[in-house]
Amino acid sequence: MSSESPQSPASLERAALSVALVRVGNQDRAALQEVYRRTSRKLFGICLRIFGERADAEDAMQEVYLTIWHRAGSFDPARGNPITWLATLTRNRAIDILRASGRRPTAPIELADNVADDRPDAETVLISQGDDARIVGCIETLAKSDATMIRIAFFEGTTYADLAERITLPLGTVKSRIRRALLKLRECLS
Amino acid sequence: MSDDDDLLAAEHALGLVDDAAAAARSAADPAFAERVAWWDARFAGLTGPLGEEPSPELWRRIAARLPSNDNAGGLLRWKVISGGLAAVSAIALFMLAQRPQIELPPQPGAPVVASLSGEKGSALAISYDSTARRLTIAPVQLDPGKGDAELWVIPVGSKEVISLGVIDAKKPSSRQLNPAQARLVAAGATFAISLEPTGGSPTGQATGPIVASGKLVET
Repeated sequence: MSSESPQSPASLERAALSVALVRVGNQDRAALQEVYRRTSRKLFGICLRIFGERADAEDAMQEVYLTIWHRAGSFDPARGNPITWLATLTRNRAIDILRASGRRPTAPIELADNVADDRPDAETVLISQGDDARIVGCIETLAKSDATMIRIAFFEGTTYADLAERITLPLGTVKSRIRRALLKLRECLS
Repeated sequence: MSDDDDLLAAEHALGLVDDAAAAARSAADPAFAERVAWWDARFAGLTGPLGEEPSPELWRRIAARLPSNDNAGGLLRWKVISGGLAAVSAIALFMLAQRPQIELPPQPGAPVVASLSGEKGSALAISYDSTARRLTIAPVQLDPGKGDAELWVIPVGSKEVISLGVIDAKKPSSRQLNPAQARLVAAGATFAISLEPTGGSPTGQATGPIVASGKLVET
């Protein structure tokens, strides 16, 4: 699945993180600190992208690492990449908090706007998701407005109804555009 | 799976649709749940480029909220680490604040790690914590067939291959090494896995094929 060589930094990072998560699953605090040391930069990047404010993002980070503490026992190194597992957990937990807080962004979305320039830096490349990172390239193949809608859905946890309201397009139009875009995305990813 | 079902899986992964209904479907339908997981992993790639240093004190706020009833080894090391942190905190935190791109330094006694791979790529990950003499083994892709997978160590500067016993090839496990074994395991040593009859090699030497190997390194 992965093209990286066995002793590459990425492969070692993945191995180190997998075993650290297994140890967290055995309620080992030092292991959680190790997971934190290896991932806080990336997971904070996700929280910050979702909340926009450092203080909110750091509050969410506390909940994220407590959730990691409680759920690490269910991480199976044979079933997936630890970074992917952590990124998904972080995004989902942060979106839950955002939704529960009622502080969801309500400003209209201008689809012509440029999306944030999310170019990778060296460190995040080191612990990047390997094959899973293909979506960054694939999403660029979509119409810019469709790519923007999918990014907003992912990073802001919007439902179809929220999206339609904020883009000021009919619900049916938003749905059919996103569904068409998802099929294109799947083709590119498969 | 129909396109409609797969699209529903993608919509559920993104949270575009009513969560309760899709979550119920996910719980009842493993094939659907697998597609949701597939989409989850793909969308997680969108976070690939992100990275930003949180405040240096965030870790301590998290640590303060952890339950205190963890295992004894972890707790002991925890106390050592937090004591050390307190002693150096003023200077270290100042420096971290000045240089926000710097990662936290490895904590004292951070485990050494090996990524063992074979012909099919990564087979398992192993870490060794010398303070607790604890080996943690996380199988990634390891099929011992009808027999058992046995773990071997080749110590630094040695050609001897010494058994550390049969391991669980299916799920993560951990074990404490005895002092004699612990002397063999350190950064630079090589781990290897051989396929052996059930119960392990009858001779004390590897009798089956070596299917994975890797060197222990500090990370």
